[in-house]
Amino acid sequence: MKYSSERSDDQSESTPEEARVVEFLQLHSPSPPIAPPRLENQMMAAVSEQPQQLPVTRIQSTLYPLWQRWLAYAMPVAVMVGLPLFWLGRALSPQPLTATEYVQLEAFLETNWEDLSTSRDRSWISDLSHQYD
Amino acid sequence: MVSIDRAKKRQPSGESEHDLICQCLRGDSESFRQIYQRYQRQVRSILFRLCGESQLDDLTQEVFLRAWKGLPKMQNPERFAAWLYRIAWNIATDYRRGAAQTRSRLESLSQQTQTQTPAPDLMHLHYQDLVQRGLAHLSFDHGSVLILHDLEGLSQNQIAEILAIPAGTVKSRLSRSRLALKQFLHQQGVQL
Repeated sequence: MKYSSERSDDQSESTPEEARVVEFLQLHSPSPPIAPPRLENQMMAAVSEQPQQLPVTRIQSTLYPLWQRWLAYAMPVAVMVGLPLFWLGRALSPQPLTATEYVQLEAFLETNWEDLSTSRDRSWISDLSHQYD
Repeated sequence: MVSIDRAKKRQPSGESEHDLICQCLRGDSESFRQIYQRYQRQVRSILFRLCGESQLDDLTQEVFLRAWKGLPKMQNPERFAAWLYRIAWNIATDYRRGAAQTRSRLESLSQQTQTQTPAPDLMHLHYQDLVQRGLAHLSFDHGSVLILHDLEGLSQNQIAEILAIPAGTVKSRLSRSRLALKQFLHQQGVQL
C-alpha cells in the first residue's frame, strides 16, 4: 500500500534521537474525547438547512475526465456550426432536375429547334455571314 | 488510521468513497452522513491536537459543514481526504488566531502550577500534560506538521499537499519541531 510505504520511508529518515521523541510523543499524547452521539444528528440537521451552493450540473462536471468534459462542450458547438454550413452548401449547389422539369426542358429545346429549322426567314444566317466577310 | 489515497476503495460495509461523493453532489445528505462517520474520528483528533478540547465539537461540526457546502468547488474528488484535512487545518488556524491571547494566559497559568514531580501513578497524566504544553510551545506551522506526521500518521508528501507547502519544507519543519519538543521536555525534567 502506498500509504504504508511512504510512512516507512519517512520513519527511516529520522535519527535515533528523533525516534525517541516521537515514541514519547505517541506514548503520552492524550486521545481526543469520543464524540457525543448527538453531534452527528446536530451536524446532519445543520447540513439539511444549508444546501450546496452551485448547481448540480456544474458540480458533476468536475467528476468526469477532461476529454469527456471537452466532448460535452464540443458536440453542441459542432452541431451549431455544422447545420448552417450544411444548409448553405445545399442552397448554393445546383439541384438535379426532377423528371417533370427534364421533360419540360426537352420539349422546349425541341420546339425551338424545329421553329428554327422550318422557318423561311434565313436572314439570321446572312447576318452572321456578313460579320465574317 | 486513515489513508488519503483510499478515495476509490470500496469499504466492506458500504459504497466507495467516490460514489458517496457523487451522491453528496446530487444533494444526498445521507451519503454525507457516511462520509462523516468515516472521517470524523481523524478530523476530531487533528482538531483536538491543534486546538484543544474546549470547542472541539463546534469545530468538528464546522469542518464538516464547510465541507458539505464546499463539495461542489472541490477540484479533485480523488483527493477528498487531503481536501477535508485542509479544511480542518484552516479552521484550526482561524480558531488559534482568535484564541491566541486566551491560550497564552492558560499557558502561563499551567506553567505556574507545574512545580513538583507528581506521584508515580500520576506520571502518565503528567507526561500527557507535558506533551500538550510542548505542542502548544511550538509555532502553529511547526506543530501542525509534527501532529499530522507523528500523531496522525500522514506521510510527508500528504502533509505537503494538505498544507500546500513543498515536501522539503515539511521535512525541515518536522526535524525542527522534534528538536524543539525535545528541548522543551528536557527543560521540564524529562530525559529521553
